[in-house]
Amino acid sequence: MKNTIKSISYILLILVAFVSCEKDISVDMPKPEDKLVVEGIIELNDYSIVFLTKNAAYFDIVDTATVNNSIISGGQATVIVTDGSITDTLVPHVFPKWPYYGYYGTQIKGSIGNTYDLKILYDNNEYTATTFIPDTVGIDSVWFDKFEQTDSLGFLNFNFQDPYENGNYYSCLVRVHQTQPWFYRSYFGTHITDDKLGNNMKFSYSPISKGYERNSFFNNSSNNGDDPLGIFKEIGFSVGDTVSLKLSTMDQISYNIWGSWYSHQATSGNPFTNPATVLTNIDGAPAKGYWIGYGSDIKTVYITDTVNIEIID
Amino acid sequence: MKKTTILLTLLVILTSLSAQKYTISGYIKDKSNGEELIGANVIVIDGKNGATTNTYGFYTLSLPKGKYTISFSFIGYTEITKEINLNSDKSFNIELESSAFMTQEVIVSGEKKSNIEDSKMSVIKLPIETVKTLPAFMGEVDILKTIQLLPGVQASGEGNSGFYVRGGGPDQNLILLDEATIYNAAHLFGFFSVFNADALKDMELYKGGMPAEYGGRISSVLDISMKNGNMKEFQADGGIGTIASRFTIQGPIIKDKCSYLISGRRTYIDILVKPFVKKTSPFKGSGYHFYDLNAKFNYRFSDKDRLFFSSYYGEDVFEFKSDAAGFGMSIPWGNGMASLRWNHLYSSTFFSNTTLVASDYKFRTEVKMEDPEDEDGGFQFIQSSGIRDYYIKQDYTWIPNPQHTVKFGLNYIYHIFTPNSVSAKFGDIVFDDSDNRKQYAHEAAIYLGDDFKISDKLTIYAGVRGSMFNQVGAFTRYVKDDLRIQNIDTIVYGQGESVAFYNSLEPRASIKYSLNSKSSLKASFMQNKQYIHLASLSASTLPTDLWVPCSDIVEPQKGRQYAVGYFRNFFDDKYETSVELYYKDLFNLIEYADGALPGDDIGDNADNYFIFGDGYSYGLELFIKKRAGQFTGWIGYTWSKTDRFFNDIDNGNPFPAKYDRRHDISLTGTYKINKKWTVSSVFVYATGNTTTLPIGRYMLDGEIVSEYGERNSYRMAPYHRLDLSVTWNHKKTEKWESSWNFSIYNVYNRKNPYFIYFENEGSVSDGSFVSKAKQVSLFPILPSITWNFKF
Repeated sequence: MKNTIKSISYILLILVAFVSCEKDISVDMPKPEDKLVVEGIIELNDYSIVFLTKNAAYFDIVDTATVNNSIISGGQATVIVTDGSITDTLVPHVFPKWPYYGYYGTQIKGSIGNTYDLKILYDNNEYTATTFIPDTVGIDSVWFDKFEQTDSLGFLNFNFQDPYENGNYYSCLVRVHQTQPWFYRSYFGTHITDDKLGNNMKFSYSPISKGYERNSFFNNSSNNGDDPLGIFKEIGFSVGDTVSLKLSTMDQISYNIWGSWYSHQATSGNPFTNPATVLTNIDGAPAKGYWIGYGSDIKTVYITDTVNIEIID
Repeated sequence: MKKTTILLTLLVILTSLSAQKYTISGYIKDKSNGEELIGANVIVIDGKNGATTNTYGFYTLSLPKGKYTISFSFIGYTEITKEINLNSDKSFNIELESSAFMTQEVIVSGEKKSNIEDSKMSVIKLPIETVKTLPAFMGEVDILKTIQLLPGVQASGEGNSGFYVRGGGPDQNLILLDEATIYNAAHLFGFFSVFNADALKDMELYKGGMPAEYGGRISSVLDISMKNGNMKEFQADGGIGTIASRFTIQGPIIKDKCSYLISGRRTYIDILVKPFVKKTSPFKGSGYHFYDLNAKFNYRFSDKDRLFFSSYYGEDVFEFKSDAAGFGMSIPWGNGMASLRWNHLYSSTFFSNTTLVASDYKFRTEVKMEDPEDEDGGFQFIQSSGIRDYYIKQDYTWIPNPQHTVKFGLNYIYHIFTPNSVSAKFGDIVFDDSDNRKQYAHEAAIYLGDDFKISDKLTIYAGVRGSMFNQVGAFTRYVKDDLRIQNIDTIVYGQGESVAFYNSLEPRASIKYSLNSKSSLKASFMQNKQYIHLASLSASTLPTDLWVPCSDIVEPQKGRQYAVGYFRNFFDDKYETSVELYYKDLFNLIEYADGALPGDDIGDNADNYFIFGDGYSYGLELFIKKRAGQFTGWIGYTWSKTDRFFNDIDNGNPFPAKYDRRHDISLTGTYKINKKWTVSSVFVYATGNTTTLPIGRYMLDGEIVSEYGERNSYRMAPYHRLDLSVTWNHKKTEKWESSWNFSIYNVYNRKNPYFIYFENEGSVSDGSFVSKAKQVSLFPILPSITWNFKF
């Protein structure tokens, strides 16, 4: 139904395009409440990472200056994480992905079964959130599927075993060591899944396409139209690549936030559906975004040739 | 209930004991083709008594013994008067001759004082001949477009099918074609209704004061009757136009005993659009068309027994084919119905009608992917939703004396809903869960109502309807958590096991008080329950909208409407005017939860994504109509406010319904220049539709997320449009008639908003990034020519 509505909407839009006309109009809309947008994660065996940005009115000017101004960094805010006993005040840090300026923990590394509270002080407001790192689930077998059209490019795939209990939620991110400093979502497909349709079964993420840094404002996707293999290079892994695959578990609230985000992406701008609101678990003052604990299992592989994979880690 | 019945019976007996009365009764028909006339008038000249013919063209009138002059009349026909000496029950079957030129007298006597005299208020009766005098939209006379010109009835806006009556949603209108329910009454974009006017005879629209024989929908009833078919001679009608063509044949099988009617219509938009599609375009093999087929057959055994068979089948088909990609998609949707009715007269004052109906509405998406290299034969995927009904109705009308018209009866419907079913074929593997998705329900009702003429000035209608609804298995309920994401339980119901049961008592009442022969005051009250609902995902009505029944989590919608009105005729009944005020309370309304994108119902139920709330609507309707003369027409104005409040939307604050329309104005005018030429025009103005727009944005994981304003807080630009139409009655001989119609839709090419979307242009890095709001409009100026013929 989801895909049908999407396809029908597109078809109808096309039909409408045959007979319709459009014009620019000016729209007078109220400004939204100022909100802090939090993107915070704490992963197994790593310190907390928090990015802070601000929202903007829909028709506000968008240029390099305003986009940079929307990033909250350094001494502008105080970001604190506690696990019940230790308090970790995050320090400003530059990361290799947009928005680059964020906050990094130094005291608390994520561990399984713990609850972590986040507190942010910004502009006389106090924001709070809480999350949990569930048990990890290990990546089992990994294999490579070469594209027919190329000699050395293809998809990766892996299996994992969903545990017995109901209510397991996963995300999959990938990173090519040679070219990427960060884990990204795959080129296509949703990166999240759950055990609704089949519990305690062998699951797989298959196929997995290469990830890339999204930034809708600074689009750096450079598909060279002249290169017939251009698209394959963007979505596929190459023989000789060292790739890390990360399978993370998360709690239900976190999964719901991602789910609502996907609903929003699917309906945004579509005049034939009701708009979706992305959920948030940040409380205390008007805010958006998430604070998520991930139970991550990382497997690093080296693609030796078109059929063999060497597991490095 | 019991007390009322006893009281009613006593009253009836008492009033009938008063004087020696006899009845005159019979059928009033069109002389040229034997077609019964619905709503024809039988009036006692110089008296205060009268009657009108019912859906079967039958009238009955009780009078005290004596001599009378009776007038038989109907709009568009020459009046007949008869002197009678009533000393026993008499039967008069009358054949009226249609008037070649509609003179003032013909029109006025035909409609006479029905709006003043009738106790039913908020009802509009429109014989098809009246509808045909209005501008033809794109050369096609359309009854749905016509009723939208009346106050209190609103078009859903450009590109939307369905109509709104007094703030009620499109699913709150009961649309009947020869007693069968039609679920989707319009073709794509709402431009054409499924009703081919050549096959229709009459229609009645109840905006309020719904009598007890109707139920199952809260806001209105549109009761449409098909023609029966020329009883005297073979007749063919048709029209060839720029967008669509239609053809109807009718005639007797046995003269004056049994006749048939077959009517068809098809568009050829696809053939017209195809040349404009570039060869390289991926949409080369695509097209869209619709067609409608009506067939009717009737057999008159005697004056006492009549059998009717009516059927309709129509479809919209949208096709998208890309041979290059080996991909084809077809989206057919449409209605089909068949009804069988037996009309029986026990006596001139007691008759019954038995009806059997089967109807089906379906919407399907078929996707075919054929890879020529694939030996498995490719992939086929069918998703469908629909609703199938089987029902039986038994209705009685009893006129014990001139003061009372009692109607009672019962009906039973068996529903089979398929909110969503999926079947797929991949090579040899077949996956079909269509049977698992179905929902079954029994719906039944019993009613009793009496139209009581207490005195010459005062008439009261009182009625009550009892209804029930029972959803039964086989059915599986997937219970979801509060966030509607995770299944927490599964409940399985066996075949026939009750899933949900609802019932209600619906009182109906209306009262008319004549102030004098020119004016009257009316008031009405109705309470209705609705057991099936249309779940609409968006501001536009789409074929993807689902009809869903009440269930263990969906309760019946309920409505209560109060209305008062003042009706006045001027200048010897040439002008008809009315003012009506209404207030409506609505309960258990349905909306989709924010951002709900129902999945494919695997491990899910369609109704898990609904949220429930209440609403209200109130308004004022003004109507002025000039009925007679060379120039005729009307002005309708409605001021109304319709709000909803849901706990899950905007924190329970009231928000406007998507069809809240503060002002709605319609002007129509028809001018008969002479026997050959007629011009007519229509002008409409309406406050813009509401929509929800984004007010802010932020970034999440590198992607832009929009923040939305309050639900329906933005008003699009107002809708207004002028249509003009010219008809040239080219030829009229005994054997052959033809006419040309030239019409222009949206004369000044107003770009009325269909929807608004946003587009980002430029890039951030060089500072040229800009977000633009764009408005899409559907129908620009559209001229059309139609050639109509009849032989």
